[in-house]
Amino acid sequence: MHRLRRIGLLQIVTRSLKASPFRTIVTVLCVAIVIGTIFSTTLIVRGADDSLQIGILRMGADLIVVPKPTNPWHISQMILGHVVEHPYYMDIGAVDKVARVPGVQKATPQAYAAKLELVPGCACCPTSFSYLIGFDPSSDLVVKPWLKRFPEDLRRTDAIVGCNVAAYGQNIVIFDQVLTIRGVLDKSGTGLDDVVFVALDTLYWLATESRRLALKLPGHHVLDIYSNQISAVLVKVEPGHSVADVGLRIKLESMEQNMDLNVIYPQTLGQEARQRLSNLYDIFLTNNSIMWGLSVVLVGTVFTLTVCERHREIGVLRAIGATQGYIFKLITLEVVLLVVLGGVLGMLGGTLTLHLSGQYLAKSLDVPYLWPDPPYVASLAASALGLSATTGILSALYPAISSSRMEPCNAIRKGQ
Amino acid sequence: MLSLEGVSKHYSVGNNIVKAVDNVHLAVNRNDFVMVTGRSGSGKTTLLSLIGGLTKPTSGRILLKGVDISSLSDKDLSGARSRTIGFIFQFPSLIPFLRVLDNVRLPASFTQEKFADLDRAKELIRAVGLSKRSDSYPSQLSMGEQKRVAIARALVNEPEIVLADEPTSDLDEATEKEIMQIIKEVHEKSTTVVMVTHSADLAHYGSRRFKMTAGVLREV
Repeated sequence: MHRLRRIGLLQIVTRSLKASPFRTIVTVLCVAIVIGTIFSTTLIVRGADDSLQIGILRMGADLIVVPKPTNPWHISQMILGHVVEHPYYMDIGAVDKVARVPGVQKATPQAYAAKLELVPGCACCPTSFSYLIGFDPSSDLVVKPWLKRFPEDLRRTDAIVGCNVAAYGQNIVIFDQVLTIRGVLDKSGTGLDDVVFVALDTLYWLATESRRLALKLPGHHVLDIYSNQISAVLVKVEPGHSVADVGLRIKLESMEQNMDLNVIYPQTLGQEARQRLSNLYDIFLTNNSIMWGLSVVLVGTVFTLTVCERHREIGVLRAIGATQGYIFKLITLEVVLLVVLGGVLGMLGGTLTLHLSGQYLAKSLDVPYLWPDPPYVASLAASALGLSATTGILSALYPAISSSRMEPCNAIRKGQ
Repeated sequence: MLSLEGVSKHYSVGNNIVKAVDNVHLAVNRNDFVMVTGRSGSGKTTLLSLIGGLTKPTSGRILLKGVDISSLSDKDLSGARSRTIGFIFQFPSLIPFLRVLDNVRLPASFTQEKFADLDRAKELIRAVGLSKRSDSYPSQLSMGEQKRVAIARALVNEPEIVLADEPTSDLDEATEKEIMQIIKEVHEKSTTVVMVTHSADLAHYGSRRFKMTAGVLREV
């Protein structure tokens, strides 16, 4: 006697789904769009937040001392990748004065020069970057920590760049001068990926070259910075000292010495971007909640109608021995399978979309963006799968309960 | 085997009460072939639904092998339907997305058995003359072929009683004879059959004949 494994619930469900391709495809697509949108918008917000954090961390200082007219906005614009002119400079002597303030462990200068509009057809600065940042390699506390190997012998013609600018060992041309890349910073997703770091002397030299070029090419962009001018002093506070206290001491000291300095607390950087992110998150949350609710109603309605069309089939199944529980499981499994499949496709679609156009989307939303770390993506994918399954279960509740509770005789009669 | 004691089934339609089955007393013995005839709307299908536990009576008791089926839980009643009763419906009742062989072995899925007897399913399909259509879908079969598959499905769990609701409706005369011959053979293999039909011409197949009029059952 040949024995054949009996037809399982899953087998019946998959065959039923195959038998209604239109319903199956429409339901899967609907859920894929909803779950894909929820998944990708959450990734964008998280990616933007991570990127902002990294950008602020990369500033590397507990305090940033700037000339009075400078405000945190100028610095945060640089982190966000917006190129704005940074015209406020102070004398490099401020570094020693700040370094002498009690509680300051280390102070290092930086000078920022934005690359603005180029003269059309200008071939002397083909390298694409946003800012030239001059720093002091000997006292630096910003660039070094982010490089595996810091080139201690940084020459005048050397540069360290953000990952979007050039690759290690390549040459770049700025104001007709060739610089060699001696270090490339890891991706941050912020404007710092488009920055060129050079020694302060190199920056002053390039500024001189820019002025020389402007004489030859009237209207050519000029770096309006001169020797011994800096934009900021980045401060590391000694352990055991309060950052706020040291900041206050620096302010008082500058007032006493008529230096007119302002102290920026890096934690306050990116507040505007954070606020934008928070607003964006609220909008996404509201939209996604509405979309999800509608998808539950839509899938529930589709399956309620489907069940109505299948009353006779359900009645027959009951007549040949299916229990109420079997019918409940049959309908629920059909919905959950479709919705989970839709969820998986949505996540794949969302991931692909973000990989292809994440930077563009972030730019249009005016936020920095970095692909979130894999553990977060994995946990988000698990949550999205859970949400898909929940969507399926909620959508299936009414059709599954109503069809399983129906008297077989009524089901058959309604189906005729 | 089966007994109905004062079984009634009433429906409310607006303010009226329709007595689909009215105070029916019936005792069916093992290996009886009970043939119930009556006009459309006389309550025959409702009577069969009551016997099969597809609906509950408004009053009275239905005893299947001595057990009141109204007292059974859904699980036990479903178990009784899959093991003890085989249904043949008036309408096309095959699951449209399952092939003939799968439709026939489907009731085995609702028993406690882990495996369905493939030989029995194939034997039944052969017995109803559809060996070559095992892999067809119901939509690829004629109405008569679908009815034959439904008969094979009703028999796959070797039920003690077969309930047939107008199994020959919508069929031509030749196919009707073929179907009745199969049902007759089922009965001859000591299966109890309760069949309802509007066709008085088929009454002679029954070992016991009843007529149903406006919900009232009368032996003739």
